[in-house]
Amino acid sequence: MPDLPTLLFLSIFFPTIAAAGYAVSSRNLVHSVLFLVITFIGVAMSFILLQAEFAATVQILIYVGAVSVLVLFAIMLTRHITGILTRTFVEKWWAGIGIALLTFLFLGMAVFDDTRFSVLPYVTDFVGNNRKTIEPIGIALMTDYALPFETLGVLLTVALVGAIVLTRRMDEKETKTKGESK
Amino acid sequence: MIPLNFYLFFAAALFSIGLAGVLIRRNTIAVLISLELMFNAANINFIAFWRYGLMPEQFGGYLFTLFSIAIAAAEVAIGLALAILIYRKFRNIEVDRLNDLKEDIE
Amino acid sequence: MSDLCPRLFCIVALAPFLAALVSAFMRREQKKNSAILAIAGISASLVFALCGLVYVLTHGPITVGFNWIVPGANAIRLSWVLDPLSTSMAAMVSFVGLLIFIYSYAYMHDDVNVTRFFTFLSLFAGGMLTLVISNSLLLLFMAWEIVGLASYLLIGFWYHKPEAVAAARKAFITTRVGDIFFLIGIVWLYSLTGTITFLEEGRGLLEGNRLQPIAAAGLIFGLPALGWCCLLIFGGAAGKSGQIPLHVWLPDAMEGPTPVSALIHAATMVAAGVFLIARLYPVFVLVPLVLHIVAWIGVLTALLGAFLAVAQNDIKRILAYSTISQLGLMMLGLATGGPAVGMFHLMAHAFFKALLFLGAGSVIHGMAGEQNIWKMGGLRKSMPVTCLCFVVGYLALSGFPFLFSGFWSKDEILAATFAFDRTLFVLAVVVSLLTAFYMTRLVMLVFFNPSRAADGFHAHESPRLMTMPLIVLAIFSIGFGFIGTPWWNGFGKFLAGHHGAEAEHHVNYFVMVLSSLIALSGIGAGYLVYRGRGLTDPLETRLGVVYRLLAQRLYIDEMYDAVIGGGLRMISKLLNAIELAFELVLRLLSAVVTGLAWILEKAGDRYLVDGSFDRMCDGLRITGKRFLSVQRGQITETIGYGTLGVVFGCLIVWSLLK
Repeated sequence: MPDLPTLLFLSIFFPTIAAAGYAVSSRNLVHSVLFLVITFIGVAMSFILLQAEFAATVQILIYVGAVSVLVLFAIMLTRHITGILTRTFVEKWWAGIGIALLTFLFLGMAVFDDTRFSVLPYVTDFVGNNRKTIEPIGIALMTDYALPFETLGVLLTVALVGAIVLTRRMDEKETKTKGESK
Repeated sequence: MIPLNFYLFFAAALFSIGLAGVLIRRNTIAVLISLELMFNAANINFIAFWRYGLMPEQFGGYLFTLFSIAIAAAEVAIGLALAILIYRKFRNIEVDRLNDLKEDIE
Repeated sequence: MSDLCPRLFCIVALAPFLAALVSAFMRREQKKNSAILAIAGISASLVFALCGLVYVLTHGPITVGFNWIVPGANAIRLSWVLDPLSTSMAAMVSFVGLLIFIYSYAYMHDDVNVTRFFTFLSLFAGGMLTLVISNSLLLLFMAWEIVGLASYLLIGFWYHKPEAVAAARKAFITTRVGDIFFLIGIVWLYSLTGTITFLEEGRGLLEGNRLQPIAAAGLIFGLPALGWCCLLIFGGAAGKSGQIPLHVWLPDAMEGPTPVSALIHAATMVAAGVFLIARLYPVFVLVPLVLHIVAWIGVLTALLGAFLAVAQNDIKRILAYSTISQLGLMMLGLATGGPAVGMFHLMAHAFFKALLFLGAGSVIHGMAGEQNIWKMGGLRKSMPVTCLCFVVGYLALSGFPFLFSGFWSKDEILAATFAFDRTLFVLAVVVSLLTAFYMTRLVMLVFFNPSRAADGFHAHESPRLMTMPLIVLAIFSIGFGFIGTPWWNGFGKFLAGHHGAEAEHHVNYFVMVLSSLIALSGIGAGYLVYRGRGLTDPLETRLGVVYRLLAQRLYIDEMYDAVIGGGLRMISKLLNAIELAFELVLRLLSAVVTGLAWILEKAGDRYLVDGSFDRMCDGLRITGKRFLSVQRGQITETIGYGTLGVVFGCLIVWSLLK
């Protein structure tokens, strides 16, 4: 009977992988998204297991909360109404499976190469005795990483504006808005 | 203590599944979904290496993951916007039918 | 208590911002609520400003701040300072602001967008107050920009009027030009000194003799680097305070509602430039040449403003040019006599200029929108309270001896200039004369001469909410002067404690008598010329061409248009010519090549090429087609091949590393 941490890990591993598998192979696109949500939650659980609670929270907030909803909206907006049955997979699907299998084999081999990965020490007590992570992260974001942080803000603004500009319908008549003084 | 390999294996599995999805699915949005799986796999890797690394007090991997999540969100937004645009123009978002990049032979 | 007051001093700037934020979400119908909110905000500012004033009087200057961004070793701090300059300025701004806010509610009562108006007003007040209390050039610059934005929004408030929109744009762009110089100056100053904070426990810009060692270093064209920084910063001040040549936006800014003109373009925002120079005076004083330049620009601005004011017919334009002129005088006073002199006139001017603008607003309100002074008259009888207050402001501005604050403040400037440079003094005297003259012209035509309004039109006095602020401002226009007389200069001593020892003041009786005589003769001349006049301006007939030049504002705006527009057109023509040249060269080359090809085709192609070469090409094409069929434009395939490549590459690398 494996010990508690391993048990926890396994109980996260199998559902997540299974959900990922279903997400990738489901015929119904909405089902895909829902399985994706389960995967996200699984990943968040693994973050918690790794003592990165803040990352887990952010993961849930952003991926489950925003990205999934966004994908659902996009699915709604791109529905085929004609009802033609389309195939889910590409013609040469076996090529894709083959490549993915190859990658997985390679990665698996690299991962279980003991000489490299198990010599890393596992620091039990970091950031003092409390193992608080949020405060140092917040400080780091505002001081050492202030520049990437601000750049990220700009990037998000650009993405926001870009998404809006891209999907504007150009044939609509411009409605008069208040405060325009051209 | 869970060995580091387990997490890396987890990430590798997730990554491969995501990769399979990208190479197999016809619907563009399904491809984007699989892409998100790959992102998540990479994030797990980062967090795992952060935790099992030499200096967890320097939150390099952790911060990278936070940034990665934010950037992935931005990328998904733009990607979906593009998908919608393509759908509007071609009435169809299946990757094997969108082959305008094809070199036409006379 | 004594520790709390400096910390809470930041509320002076935060309260109006909060009011602006809340009223931004109010609906259009909630006029009264937004007005009450704005007035509450600025009243809070006033209360805390007065607390700060009392604190500085009892404890002396202090700064409060906190670290904002720490990119590495140095930190960028946000801090505010309580010293005589900032507290007195904050008190003045919030006090005048409060009066104008109250006035605005009555003045703008019938407008539909009152809520938006008070939002912008509060935004402006917050920005202005942040500007005066800030302890670093960075915070000051940010507040500077907010104030510029608020000015743009308020000038163009009636955005359906194209003149207002154009005026707002002009104001923003012109001040922007100044702001660019300002920013370069700040950055250069930072690189020279390593700090942009004013007072920082001995390390700040203004403290001790911190900048003395580098004061003469880095000469470029005869001026030290520090001097160039000061000039660049003065460029920013020139933009905001309407000095030559960036004064062109101020008269056009009169397109905004009159309370806006009173608050922003008379009392506070335009004074920001003067305040900036006063704030940085310890730096400027290290490079005396810069002070000379500032003085000359100031006096030239004063002259231009005064001359142009004589020939204007719109009541607000006259006051606008008068403001430009007085701002020039403030700069002059600042350069010749230091912050005490310049700031004294700034504050006195704030009171009586705001009074004059509000009075003008009252007149316009009573005349149902008419702004041309030639169509007014006889308002002394129909609007007595307005008339009385306006006359008080007029006498203050003209420098009527002894009773009014304008006399004392202008006297200080003249005395300082007299000691500084005689030529400047003479020019300043001319300005005073003209000031008295054109203001008398205005007052005579609007209030005393017989009415020229349409028959049956009766102007009525304005409501109490509009006249009360007028009365308060009138009281201050009289009373404020007495804290700055040469015999007991309380104001000067208050500010001097901020800078250290100030030179002992000898009372210059000659200048005092001279300035009294000038004021009286200006008033007298105006009276004689305009007594009883109603329909035509005697100056127009006597001075002819000169008058027309002045009335057309010396065609400065048209010159700017021609220069900048013409310049752009010239550049585009030049670029066009360059492009044509390129095209010509290309055509020549292609003609040569075509010729060669023709020869080759005729000679070589038929025999040499067709036989062997073409067949080789056919072979290539067929093979190419076969290879091409691989790339079918399928993205998925591309990704697949790519991934395969990456995996194999990694495999190779990994096996090599083992």
